[in-house]
Amino acid sequence: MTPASNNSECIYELPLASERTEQQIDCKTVGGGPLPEPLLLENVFWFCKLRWSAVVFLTLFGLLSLPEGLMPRLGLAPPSDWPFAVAFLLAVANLFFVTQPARRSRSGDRFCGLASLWSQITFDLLVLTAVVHYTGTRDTSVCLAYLFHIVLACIFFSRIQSFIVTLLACTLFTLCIVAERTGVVPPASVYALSEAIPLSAAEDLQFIHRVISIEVIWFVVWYLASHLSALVRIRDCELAETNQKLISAQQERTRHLLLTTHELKAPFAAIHANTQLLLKGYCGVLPDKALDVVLRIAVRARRLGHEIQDMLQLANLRAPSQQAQPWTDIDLARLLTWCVDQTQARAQERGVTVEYTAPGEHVVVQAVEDHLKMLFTNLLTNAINYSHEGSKVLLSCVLAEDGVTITVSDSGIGIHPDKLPRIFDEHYRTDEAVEHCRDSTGLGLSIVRHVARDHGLLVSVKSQVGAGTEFKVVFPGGRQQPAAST
Amino acid sequence: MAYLLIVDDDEDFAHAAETVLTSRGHEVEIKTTTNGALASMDQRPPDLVILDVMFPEDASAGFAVARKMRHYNERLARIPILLLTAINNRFPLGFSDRDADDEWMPVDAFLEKPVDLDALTMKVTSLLEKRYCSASSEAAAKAS
Repeated sequence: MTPASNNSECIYELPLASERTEQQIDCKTVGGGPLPEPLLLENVFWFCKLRWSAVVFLTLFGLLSLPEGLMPRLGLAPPSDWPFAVAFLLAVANLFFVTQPARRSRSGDRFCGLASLWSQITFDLLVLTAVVHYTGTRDTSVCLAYLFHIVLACIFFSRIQSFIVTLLACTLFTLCIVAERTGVVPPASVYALSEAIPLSAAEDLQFIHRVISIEVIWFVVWYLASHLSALVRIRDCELAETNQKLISAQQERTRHLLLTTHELKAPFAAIHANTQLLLKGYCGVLPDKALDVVLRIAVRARRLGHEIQDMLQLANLRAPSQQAQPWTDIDLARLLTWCVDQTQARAQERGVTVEYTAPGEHVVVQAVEDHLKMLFTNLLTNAINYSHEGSKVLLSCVLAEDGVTITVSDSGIGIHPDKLPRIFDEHYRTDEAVEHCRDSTGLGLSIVRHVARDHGLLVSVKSQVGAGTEFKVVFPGGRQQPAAST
Repeated sequence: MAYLLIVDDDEDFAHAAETVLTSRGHEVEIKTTTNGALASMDQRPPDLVILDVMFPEDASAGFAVARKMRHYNERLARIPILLLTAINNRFPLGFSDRDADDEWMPVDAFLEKPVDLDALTMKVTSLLEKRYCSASSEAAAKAS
């Protein structure tokens, strides 16, 4: 139940589904596009975390050059500072990327996850190209690290955008090789003897073939990864759509249930009110026979009204809800007092007294308040209905070590042992029960069963024909707690 | 005695309530649409409004009337509102007295249909008494 208002015109809502037009999403379009912005924002931080591991790796690699003689023993080139320089550059950039959303937020500008990821991937590709150059384009397989960015781009971006990233990776790698071969930058390598051995023409050709095959593989990986990513995105979108439809259906069901309640109960309210007019003499004195007929109408109308209400409650409990009611801390003593109050009119009518022994301590349980009210009101009504006139219904609440126990007992007609297992069935009423009280729907204990099941409550019943019935509801240990004293 | 306005699309119920309240000496008018009720209140503000929630024109039109009275019309803002509806406090998605608040459900009292007509007259009497008490204390405060 939520209030809704705006400044110019009030929009009033019952606690039922508002009829809103859902935005239609074309999942096929979504599959070819980038991730939704909230997911991109999450990935901005994840990507930055990943970059810290590259910073650590490069720093550790740089540290290997510090102990004298270690690098040559490992077959690597003499000490160099480039790993530190690149690690430092990555760390500074990473700090910039990590703090960018907060800075944007402070300045009031909108932060765009897509733009941030684009700049991060572009920056990474440039830095990676430098690392590929320093480690040696010919001697190592570091160039395969471009694949990480190609795959990530397939996940984050649209197919066209990830294709551009793949193209950029190929271009940078090719430019690096061309720059080395044309002498713009001297070739480098982490291996000690690499530069000393010039390549033969055949080996040079093999290297070119290798570069081409590597780049072809990158495009194949791009094709596969972007295709799979698009499929997953379409599936996600379809799932979201289905979920939205389920929510809408649930809202419609709730709306329908409320309208049905109103439509079914309103006529009984009118019948009830008009029979009261006749019974209480507002329309003059009626002959005894007519009075008897009106009384029957009133009783029947009230019974039908209760039956409709019970059926709707049961339907609501049975149906899985997308908008489940919240579990809250409930003061059990207060709730039971409320239930007793609710059943007082019925008790007076049947000449029964309800005695409630409140718990010695303040007891709080976690449950859906309305459902607990239904449970205990139904148990009390049941006890009242099947009690003898002038008898008592006892309600008690005890806090024990194994949990809170609520007992509802009566000294009424009782239930035969053979019939006990069936009393929680819908519409089941024993012959004795029908004979004793016609004004009951046979749904009250079904409601009790549903609420107990949903809350994990233990319900037991003890009965003796002619002596009475006792229902026990136990909140298993751990669900309840004494409330803080106020 | 007071001038009461019953706003309810269920004429059968409204007339039953009218019969009982008239017998207690009140002047009662029935309006079966919310627009008609608002127009009537503009002409002559009642001492108390007995208001249904769900109307054929809108499932929550009763709330709309209550809010228009409370928030958008100075003359009607202090008239007690007694909400009557078949959506009850036993129904898990319904509402009850605890939901009455100034913003969402600005009413003074809530009764569930089917209602006992004696309970209705008692509630009406108590709301009217409350209104006269607050009106007289306001008048006394102004005078002093």
